[in-house]
Amino acid sequence: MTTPRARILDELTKLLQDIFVRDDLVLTPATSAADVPGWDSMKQIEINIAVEERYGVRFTAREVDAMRSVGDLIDAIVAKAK
Amino acid sequence: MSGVVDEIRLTFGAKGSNADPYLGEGWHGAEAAHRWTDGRRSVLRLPPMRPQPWFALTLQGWALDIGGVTPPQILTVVLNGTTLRRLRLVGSMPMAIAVPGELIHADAENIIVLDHPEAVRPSELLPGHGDARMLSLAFQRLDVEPLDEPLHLAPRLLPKVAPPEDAAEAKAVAEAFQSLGQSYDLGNFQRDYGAEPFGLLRFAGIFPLPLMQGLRTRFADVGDVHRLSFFVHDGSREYQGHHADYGLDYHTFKMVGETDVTALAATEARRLGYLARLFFEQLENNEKIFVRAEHFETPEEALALHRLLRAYHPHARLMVLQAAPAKTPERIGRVIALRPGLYRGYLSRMSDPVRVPTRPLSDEWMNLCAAVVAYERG
Repeated sequence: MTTPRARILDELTKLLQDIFVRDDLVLTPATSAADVPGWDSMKQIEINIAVEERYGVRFTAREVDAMRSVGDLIDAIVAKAK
Repeated sequence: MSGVVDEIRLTFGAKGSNADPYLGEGWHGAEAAHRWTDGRRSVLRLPPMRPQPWFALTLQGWALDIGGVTPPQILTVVLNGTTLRRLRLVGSMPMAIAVPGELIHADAENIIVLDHPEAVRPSELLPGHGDARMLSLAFQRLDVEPLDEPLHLAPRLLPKVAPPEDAAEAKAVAEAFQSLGQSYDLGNFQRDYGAEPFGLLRFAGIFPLPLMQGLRTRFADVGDVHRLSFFVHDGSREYQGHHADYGLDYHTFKMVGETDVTALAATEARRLGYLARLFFEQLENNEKIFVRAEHFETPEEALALHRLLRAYHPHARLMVLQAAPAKTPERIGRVIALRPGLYRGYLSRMSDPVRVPTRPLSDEWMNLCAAVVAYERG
């Protein structure tokens, strides 16, 4: 059975594949912006907006600043969705 | 005669106007957001004010400027017969003056006379111009409010501090600041130290009055797609964004061919709305020190901006930057605390505010920012 974190990882992978226009993009919880070419602050804003719309959550600037990896983002989504 | 008041806040535009009862001679009718002076002298008759040691008188508006053919407008401000200030105005103001309390009447009207002898008729300046009114200055707001003390009386020069040697610490210093637009130098300085904080105005040009309007309205409609337009400068491939309500010109960092304008507009509208939300979160939580590179004639003018920030958080912080006068090069890289949370820093020069991103004077910026951060940490 798929855990909520694994499901969110799958969903984020598809979301970021669309944003980066890259079918071959593979995310793991350890993936960070430095691992993905083109993941700069402008792309981060696109990602934040897309994630907020997808999951119906809102992250503060401080929460966004604290996220260092896809795993952190998943944790934040899980925490907000509770 | 009106009753005694603690403060006066007049709005001159038709929308929300409350200035009519106080207008003497020399005013045209209200337009949507402002009111023009009429002739060479305009008078305001203000109510008596409860005594205070000092007041701040702040005027917001702009001087007539028609296609570069208008003579510079000279404004002399006279309060109850005492000349407070005479200045040459080009473009927009705020203009703020510290007024000693003894000049303000507590038991009689307070008469402000605005002399503007260079008023002209646009129709006489430009053939075919349809406006025959005698114009000089357009006023949007006038505020008279108690001032703790004039900011020039007790400035404190912040100690010099050594710039951080540790890269992470230097990045943290750079990230502690948030731009209020106009200069790209803060954004470029942050980039030089590996910091890429989100910022609504980080790579944006915006003039003082629309900035203040945006701060008052939480940048209402900044994410309205119908208020956005895009253009490409000669020699560039990057779309520049423009927001009609705020005259906001900003970098999209999107290139021609990378996207079409319709899709770009939709993306940018969402992005601006998102960044505005973060901007006010940071302001309400006092998370950042806001920065405006702008030559303010008096420290009280910076105070007008600081007060707008403090409407969101009582300890909101602002650093205004300006070029050090040529005769005082020792000020370069130094910061003066004008009052708690309000700083003025000096650079060796200011960059082109809107069009040309220039490489910042990163060493000077770091000196300024490190001094403020160290001072705040005590």
